[in-house]
Amino acid sequence: MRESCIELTKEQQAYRDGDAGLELQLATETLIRYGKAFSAERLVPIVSAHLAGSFAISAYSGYYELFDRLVAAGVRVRVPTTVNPHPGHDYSLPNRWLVFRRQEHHERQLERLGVMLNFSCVCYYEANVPRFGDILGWAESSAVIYANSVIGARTNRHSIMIDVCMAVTGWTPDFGLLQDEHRKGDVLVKLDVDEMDACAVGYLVGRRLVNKVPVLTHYPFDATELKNMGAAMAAAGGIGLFHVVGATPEAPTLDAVFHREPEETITITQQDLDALRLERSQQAEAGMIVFGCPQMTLEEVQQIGRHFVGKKVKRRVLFHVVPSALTQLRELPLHNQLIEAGVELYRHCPLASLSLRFGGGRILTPSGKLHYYLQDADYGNLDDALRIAGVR
Amino acid sequence: MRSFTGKPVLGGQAKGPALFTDQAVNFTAGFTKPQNLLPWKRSQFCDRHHPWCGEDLKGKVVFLPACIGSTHTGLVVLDLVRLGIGPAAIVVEDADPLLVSGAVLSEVWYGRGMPIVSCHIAQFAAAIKTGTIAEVNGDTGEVILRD
Repeated sequence: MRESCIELTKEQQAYRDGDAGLELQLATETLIRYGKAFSAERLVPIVSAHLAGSFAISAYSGYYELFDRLVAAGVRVRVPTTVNPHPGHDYSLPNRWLVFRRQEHHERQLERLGVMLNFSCVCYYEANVPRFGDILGWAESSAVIYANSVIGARTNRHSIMIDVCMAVTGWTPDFGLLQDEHRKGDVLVKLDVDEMDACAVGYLVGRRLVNKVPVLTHYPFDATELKNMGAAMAAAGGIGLFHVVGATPEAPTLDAVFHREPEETITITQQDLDALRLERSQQAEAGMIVFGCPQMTLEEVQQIGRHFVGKKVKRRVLFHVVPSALTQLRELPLHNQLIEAGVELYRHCPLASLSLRFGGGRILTPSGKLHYYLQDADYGNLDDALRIAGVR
Repeated sequence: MRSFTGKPVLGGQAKGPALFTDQAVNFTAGFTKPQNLLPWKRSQFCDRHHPWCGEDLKGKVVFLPACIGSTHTGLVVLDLVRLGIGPAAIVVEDADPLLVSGAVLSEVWYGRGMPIVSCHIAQFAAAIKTGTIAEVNGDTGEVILRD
């Protein structure tokens, strides 16, 4: 291997030399080699961490072995650290027995490592809210893109286990989206749409631009739209940062967000958005309508839930809600109104819980991320979803 | 024989049948489907949105433009590398944090790495055919193709 060009502080050098124990030595070494691959010159402190690895997926074992090793050595997180959702093992027997049989053990280990058990991918909703300019060590692609784009905090798209290494050391290698020059716009995205569907925009931008920094022309997206749009960009593409002119903090104007001419300009049209939707004639075959990938916030449940009040669903309708938002929802009349309408309310991850299931038919979802990951989830916009659910 | 030089990202040497795609690869979507639970389908790539869907990547030298998608990528790549059931080496245009982390984790914690070289991949589109064997040197950045 090439010589390290990473300059370490005294404390970092001590960790690397093993003064803090073998596990922290390896965690530090991991961050150094990882940073070196991207020509990082130093490890910098992080304000918080967010872990993506909340599901004990039985087909994989390396990550869980390492996690157990850290816990057995008494290692604890050094910065406030939140974690992704439950996989929903409590709701389906195949999931419980085949996919997530070590789930309870893994959740206990998360607690022993000192992780805040918020169990949500929308950690930035209330459990772990960064400020503009904060350096973070986050995993979970939808949270990373939101923190970078909508809040203006800085984190790379880190993987599972790298997130743990950052949480237990409190450092992250300085490269990529931590640096000003990588946060400027690459491609200008013009929106020529009559009926906005932020999720579909995100999906198409992810597909076409892969890993560029897109700059969308002004549109007054709300927080829910920004959350769902970013998640789709980070699933269909590898985007970690986007800007919307006049709406996100690092894009007050077009000039401010580009430091040179855009390398390309693309236009997303209404036709593009419509082409992503499942043919209307096939939509009726959907067995269930799934919302909440990323999980729904209280505002989102209220926005979408109002359509269900006083109605009865004609298909299974599943809402996946941030656990703390579900607790708040229980205090509101809307909670019982949704239950009376037949809406199922969950606090786990639809992507994990619905991946393996028997029967129940295909899924129709207005989530670009869920559409990408589930083999049998077709895309429909909010109107499609409500119509097939039988409430519009 | 044709020789190319890219930027070394992760060290080591490997050789195997070459597999090329001009579509970015989502390793999480590719390897976390119910069928991947079956021991004999662990290394089968199962993302319906990608032309590699159905391909077994074990032992192959894979050429791709970029890695996209979930931060579960490292969990997947870590096991593919440490258990020797994934690609032998990766040649990628944009070496991104997710792809690199899985190989780094395996190298540091399990002592088994995977070479990664970063270089323009369009040049390989015509050069790689069925039966082409690729050799990758992750320390020098050299990539050799043999028919």
